[in-house]
Amino acid sequence: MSAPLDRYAGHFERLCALPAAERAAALAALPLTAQERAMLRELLDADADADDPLTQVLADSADGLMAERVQRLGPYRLLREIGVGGMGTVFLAERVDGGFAQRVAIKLLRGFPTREGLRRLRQERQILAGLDHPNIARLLDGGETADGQPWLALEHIDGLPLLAWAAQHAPRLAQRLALFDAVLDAVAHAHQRLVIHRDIKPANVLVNAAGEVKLLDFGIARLLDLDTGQASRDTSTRVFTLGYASPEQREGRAVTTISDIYSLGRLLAELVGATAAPAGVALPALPLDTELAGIIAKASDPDPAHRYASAGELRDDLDRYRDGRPVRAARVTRWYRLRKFVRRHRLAVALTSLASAALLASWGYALYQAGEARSQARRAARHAGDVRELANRFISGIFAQIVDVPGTQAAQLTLLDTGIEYLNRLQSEAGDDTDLLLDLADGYNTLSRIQRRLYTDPARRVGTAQQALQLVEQVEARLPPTARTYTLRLSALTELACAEAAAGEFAAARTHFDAALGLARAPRSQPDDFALARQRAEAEFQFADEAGIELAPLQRVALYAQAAAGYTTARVLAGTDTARDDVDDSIAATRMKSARLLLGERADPQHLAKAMAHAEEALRLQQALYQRHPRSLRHLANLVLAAGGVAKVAGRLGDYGRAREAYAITRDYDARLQRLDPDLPVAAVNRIALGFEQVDMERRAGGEPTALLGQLAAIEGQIAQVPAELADQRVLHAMRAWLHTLRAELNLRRSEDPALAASERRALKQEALHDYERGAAQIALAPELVGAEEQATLELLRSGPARVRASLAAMQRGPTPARGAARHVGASARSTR
Amino acid sequence: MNEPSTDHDITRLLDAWRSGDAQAREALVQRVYANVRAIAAQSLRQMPGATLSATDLAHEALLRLLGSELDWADRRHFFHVAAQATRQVLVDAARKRLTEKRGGDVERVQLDQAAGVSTSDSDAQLLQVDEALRDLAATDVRRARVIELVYFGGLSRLEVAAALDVSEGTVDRDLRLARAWLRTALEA
Repeated sequence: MSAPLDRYAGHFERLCALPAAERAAALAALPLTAQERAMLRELLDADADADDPLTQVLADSADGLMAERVQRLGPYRLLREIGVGGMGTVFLAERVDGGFAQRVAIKLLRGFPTREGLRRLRQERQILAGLDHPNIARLLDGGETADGQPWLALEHIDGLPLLAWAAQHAPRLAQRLALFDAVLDAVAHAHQRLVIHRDIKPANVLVNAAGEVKLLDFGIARLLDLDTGQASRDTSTRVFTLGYASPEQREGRAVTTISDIYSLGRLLAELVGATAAPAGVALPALPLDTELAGIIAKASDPDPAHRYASAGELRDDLDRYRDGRPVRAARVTRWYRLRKFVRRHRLAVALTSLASAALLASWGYALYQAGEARSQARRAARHAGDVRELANRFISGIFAQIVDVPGTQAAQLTLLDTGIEYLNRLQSEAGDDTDLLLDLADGYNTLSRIQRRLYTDPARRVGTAQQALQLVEQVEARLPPTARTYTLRLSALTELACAEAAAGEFAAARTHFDAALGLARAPRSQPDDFALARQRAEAEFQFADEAGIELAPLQRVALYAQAAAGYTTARVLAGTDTARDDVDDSIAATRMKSARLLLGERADPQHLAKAMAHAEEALRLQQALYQRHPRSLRHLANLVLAAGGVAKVAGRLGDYGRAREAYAITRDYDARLQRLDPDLPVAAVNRIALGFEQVDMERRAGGEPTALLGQLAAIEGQIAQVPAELADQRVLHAMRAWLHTLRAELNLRRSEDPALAASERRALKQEALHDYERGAAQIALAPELVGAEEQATLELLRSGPARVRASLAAMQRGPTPARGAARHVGASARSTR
Repeated sequence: MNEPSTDHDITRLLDAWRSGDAQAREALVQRVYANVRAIAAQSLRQMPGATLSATDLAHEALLRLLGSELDWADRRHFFHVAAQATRQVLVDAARKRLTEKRGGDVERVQLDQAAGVSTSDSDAQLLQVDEALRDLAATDVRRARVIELVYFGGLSRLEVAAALDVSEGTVDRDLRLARAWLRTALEA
């Protein structure tokens, strides 16, 4: 098919190739009609025009498209751009849906949303979600537009960059150092959470009108890699700021928390005027003495080994400087020697792999002291003491700090393995130092609790708990019991029994639970301390939890009530807010669990009312805890459960409206949890369980079976995605049992639909039968899991096959009139043959 | 519209399209469309001195959707789809802006040379380009497609040649002539 332009193509090409001056003549000579010649001339003129009309139009159009798409993000309206960072652009924005005008800073990726960019923004969000410090700009919200553009809403700081603020206010040295202290606190907080900022500089420190300091821009921050103690290597982009980035960062070598110390040193230098401030900042320099100069030099030493090992150490030396004590910076040479000694030390390998900033700091200092000790014997004694302190710090301190930090699941597992290896090694060295043996028992107890939270293989948990018990027994064989040995034994027995129950060793679990409860309920001549009071309650709680189907529901309710009373006693003895919050969380758990149990006692309306009261109390407690700890994974995860509990109780009370409302709240909390940490195994499990409960509620409410089957399919997908470390756990059997049971029930209901053909209805009934069988098979794999609160489900499963068969028989026997007639015709046709 | 797309999906859709499934083609266009919009939304005018062009949009959409796993035949099909989707996104957006500006009435806007290029001028021009291209495609599919692939698809001459199964020389000649024709059409 020839196109109109084909007529001109050959001429056009030839004429274009001619010099401009010759074209007119050549055009005139062509054998064309006047109209064709005019057209060709137009084309040649248009070609001579250097402008490309399309390019400009398209660029403008694309710009217009972009501009209109980004004016609103979630509930925020962008007002103006306020900064451009390493990877992102920051806008001032205001909330448009709330009653009050909240101003926030919104961070968006700059340029193309490359995979790397998306990953970084997500990481920044995770990192910020784990930080909660008055001197760090807080993460408020985050989300994704329908188009898939991720954004972060951050606390908006209306202030000046550090040096500009200092130039304006001309503070004295003490004031400048106080500002720097705040920065140090912020950095120490981040380092404790294994976060390296990597871009500390005056421009990233803002001071607001009240003189408060805020550290910003964790855009290129990294989580410390626990294997190496270094930030995992970044091959894609090496973003840093010249003048503040450490030599190792500039050279692309591994970056550690000590790299941040370098940047802090540079920042301090500029703040006190030891080095010229950047162009445009008129900051009056202060007279500098050698000691402060020494501190700056040590902090920003090109060799990381010469720098302060932590922000805390730098802070400590600044305190010495302010107090007029000799600063450590003056002893650089000796320090360096000692660190070399430290590096050669046998334990160094094990410790370096732990790689926590806090840990390294205390370790370095401990060995520094050890190096100063003269006698071999004294050194050995100190060594044991230091090692013990490290064991404590590592296990309870570091773990307590990161266990709630989003995205540290893998790190926790690594820490756990390292911790066990470390304790095993220490145990072989412990000899008969009873204090050390008890510390080790404490360590094993803590680790087995952590293993429980991380769903470690139950057999390994049994091993850990046995180690603890054995160590306590070793000490008790030699010394009279104390509150501490009592607590440790009780804790070890409880953990051991729980682990055995999880491993399916029920006889052993029963023995150890009996022993644990005996201790938990035995009075002592001395009053309890907090740890013991709490552990008594814990034993009751775990027993109620694990003994499961062996106990009548109301018996378990009573046990939970006893546990709650124990926790309340412990709460009075608690010395810190953290301890009180911890106990409140446990009380909420007892309430939530007994609420669910009371649901099983439907015969008595009083029990149902009590269930609601308990569920509501759990929710109140968890909401208060969440408000106090908005970034805590644990409290948010428990809040999800508490809200789900209220929903479930409301559903069982027949209040479907309220139940749906509560499920909506549950989903909202769960979405927040997922935003905080998408990979939390326990949250994935709870999500599935809550999903089942909701489907079951709708089933009871008479919901449309096809839609509910669709929801079940989605849940089935979630089950398939449950992390591998959970794959062999009993909880998975329970989930599958639940899945099959509900599917069977729904298919059975569908099969009652008279609108369907008889063959289809029969097929659905067969399908239901199969699902009951599959469900029963799963239950057979984990019978103890279906506890009293799931009795209703279990009942469905037990009675299901019989009901299907009855229903099938009814179809055979009692035909509907229309189909009966048809069958009758068929029968008579057969008989006539 | 914003489901995560995988290479697998794309390959499957392309296969279906090649075996004559019109819905698969529609699904592909939708997916590219979604991507182009997402890219446009994310790519603020941040890079100093450089704005993101429709070409960049399409190219990025391709990169995101195709990865590097598809063979050339798949890519060739896909380029058409991407270019069309980009064109559609831009035209839809331009039309919407003009509609909003004029209180709901879509009318042709005469280009005012003296006014300089404002967005609404560009929008009006884009609609003219779109219409001119549609006219061209009615009688001259290949040249219309060359324009589309180069300007909306962000393809190089070499890629266009491969996509249309013609020589590079043909692409050069087609492009030059079609561009000249387009200018005359816009100025008419």
